[in-house]
Amino acid sequence: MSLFNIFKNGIWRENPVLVLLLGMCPTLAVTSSAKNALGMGLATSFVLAGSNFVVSCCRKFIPDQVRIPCYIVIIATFVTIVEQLMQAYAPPELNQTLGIFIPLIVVNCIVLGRAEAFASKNGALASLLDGLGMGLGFTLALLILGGLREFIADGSLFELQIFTNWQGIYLLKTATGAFFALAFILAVMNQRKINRCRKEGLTYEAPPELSCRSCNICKLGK
Amino acid sequence: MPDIVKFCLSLGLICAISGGGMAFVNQITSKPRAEAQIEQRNNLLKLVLPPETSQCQELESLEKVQFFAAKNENDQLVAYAAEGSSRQGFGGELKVLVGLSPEGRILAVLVSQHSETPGIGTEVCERKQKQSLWKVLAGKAESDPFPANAFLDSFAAQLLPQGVKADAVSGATLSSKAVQDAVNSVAKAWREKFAAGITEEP
Repeated sequence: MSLFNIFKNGIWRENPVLVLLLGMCPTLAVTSSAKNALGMGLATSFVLAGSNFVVSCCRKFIPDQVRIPCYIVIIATFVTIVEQLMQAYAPPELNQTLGIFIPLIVVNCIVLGRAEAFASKNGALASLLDGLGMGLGFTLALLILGGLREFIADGSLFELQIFTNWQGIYLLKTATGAFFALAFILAVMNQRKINRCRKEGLTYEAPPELSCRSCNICKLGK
Repeated sequence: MPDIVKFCLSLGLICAISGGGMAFVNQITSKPRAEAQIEQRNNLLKLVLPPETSQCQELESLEKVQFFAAKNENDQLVAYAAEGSSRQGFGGELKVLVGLSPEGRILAVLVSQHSETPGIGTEVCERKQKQSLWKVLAGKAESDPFPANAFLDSFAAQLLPQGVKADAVSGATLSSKAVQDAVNSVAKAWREKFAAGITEEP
């Protein structure tokens, strides 16, 4: 796979939220507004690219049997260092807007999932690009969900009021509403894929490299 | 070499390097971090104190609650401010800044530091301003330095010595309780400060 394809892969075809369904916890919790979604997405992208790079550099020294604890230690260290550097040197506005998302990233399964599924098997540059692509895909998915929820609940986007007399649905602001919104987005996406296949006279199947049998994270199929 | 020794050594080595790296970064950033925090606190203090304040002076701290005295140009006391904290938040420590009139009536409450979940707990922590998109596009937007927050504003005008109450916000109960707990820590320190008679006359 070319480097550009690796980068592009995470944005749409293997989008971590909409296709791989990874990182649901922050996805549902922080997407109550488009601004929060963007903040979470950008902070995760940065950490994802950085931790992918570090894990890929260390992959030759880590024995296979203890790799997961090693990755967790590396990711947690990276996140802690980023948080402290940000508190010390970043402009206060940036620290205030992005700083609250950092503690949520340590336990984000996209970061661990990409370290395990990609960075542990590929070179440093490819891993960095994979992290960036996945991060952008995550940001995009969060923005769609956050924008939709904020618009329906408040009639605003990025805290800018678009309609003044908007009869908002408060449900969309709660975590329950996040489940509903995500389910509708996924349903629309799946229906599109199924329709496209039906036009060609085929039945839709998930790509083989995305199915449970070929995934190597939990090794269920082996 | 048996495998188990190899695993222990490599995991131990990674932990040692990580620990060393974190200790090093902690060491070099501890001073700038503290400075950035004080600078941010001073900026926020201006928001909770009345506009006629010209200088703000640090008083002694009592049970981890730091008091400040605000004076006007004629060196008269116009208000107090206090920073209280609570560890009952959803994500650890939460700090509030409270502006107080000299008799202990709450002027304004602001959450100065927290790690609540964005979008859920932050509903009771953040003062956000909503502007109309059309006004922003027309260039007529006015930015309000101290936007309203129904929960934080419900503390205003309560008398501190009697203890404070506010109704928790649904969906953010824990964070609401933590804010209330932090304001109550200020109330407790205030009672002790004045009961013990250690107040310093400005």
